[in-house]
Amino acid sequence: MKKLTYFPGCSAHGTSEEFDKTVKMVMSALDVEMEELPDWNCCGATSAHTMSETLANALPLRNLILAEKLDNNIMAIPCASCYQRLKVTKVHMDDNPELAHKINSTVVEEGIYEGKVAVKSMLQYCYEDIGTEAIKSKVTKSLTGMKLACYYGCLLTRPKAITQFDSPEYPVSMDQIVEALGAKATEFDYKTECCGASFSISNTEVVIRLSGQILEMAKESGAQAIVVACPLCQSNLDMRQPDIEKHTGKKYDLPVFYFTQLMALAFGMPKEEMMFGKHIVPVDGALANIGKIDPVPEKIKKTKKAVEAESEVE
Amino acid sequence: MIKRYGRNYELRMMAEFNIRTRNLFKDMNLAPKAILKGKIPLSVKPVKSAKAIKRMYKLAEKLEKQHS
Repeated sequence: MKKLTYFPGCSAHGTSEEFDKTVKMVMSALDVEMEELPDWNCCGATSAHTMSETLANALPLRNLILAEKLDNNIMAIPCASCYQRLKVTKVHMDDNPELAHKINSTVVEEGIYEGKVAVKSMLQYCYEDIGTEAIKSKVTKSLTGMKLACYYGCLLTRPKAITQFDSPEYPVSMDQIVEALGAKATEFDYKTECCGASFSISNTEVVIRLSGQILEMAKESGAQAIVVACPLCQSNLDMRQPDIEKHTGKKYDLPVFYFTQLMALAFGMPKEEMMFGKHIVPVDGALANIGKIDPVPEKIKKTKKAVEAESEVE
Repeated sequence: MIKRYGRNYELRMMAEFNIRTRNLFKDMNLAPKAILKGKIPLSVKPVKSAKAIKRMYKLAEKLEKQHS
């Protein structure tokens, strides 16, 4: 049995409760024992690093030190913003022992940081430490017939020097996971474009515009739904979708799933436990495609990135 | 919010934002649905070491003043 430390983050107890719940369900099915970090605190995202460099490092550092008190080598994090803050701090502390000592000795009183726990996003952990073959082996209800646009957002793979995971521009890890579940990942050029993130509250128009472009491109890719691994991306694309539709005058009807909800579904777990009722955009239409086979082979449509790559070769 | 609870309290943060920006009815079309669906919890579970977090804020401020 694999073991890991689990850092849920603030949104796991509210906005993304369904992510938290399905992470626990699929990890249990995959024989991974998760130990929640005791007395974890907010990572500071997204305001701390714009207000105080010391706090931006100190808040995640306390969590990193608490994680070292447990007997696990990896701490996995479902929220992309929390992952980013903890990973950035870890890299800062590991690369700059003088800074680490200064903040550790003057601000964080929980213990001495040693840098012995790896920090990974939940997506990264599923892809690297579990693997698509092991995921495939647990599938009892294939998602054949579903066409999904995998959306990674800004933080899971960038900056490459910090995340050290997948491609920063055109990642494929989530695409391969959903294909292991039997679904088809569409060619989707906007997989790492920004959704507007925390501007959702302070400058909603920005989110309407940016998330609107993502919905537009996902629809154009032929997707019936979007898959994410970030609570803020899910919230912007799902909760703001009615406002975006009002703004553009178009109907997208694209539910936004967490990748672990789809894993739990494909693993044959009870649908009612995946908390689909929390979604603003109803999911039933997209889920009704499971088991359907295209009568006519789909016309292959080249994406902008594929066309650019071809013209470079010429 | 984080200084007080050690964790984010989304409902209070949004309410305070609306009050401070004098835009009381912002997102009022969305809020009831989000609350009913449990997307925005009505309460927060603070960290046990809330005092330690508050102290971190003070110490961080002190450290930054020393180096400014």
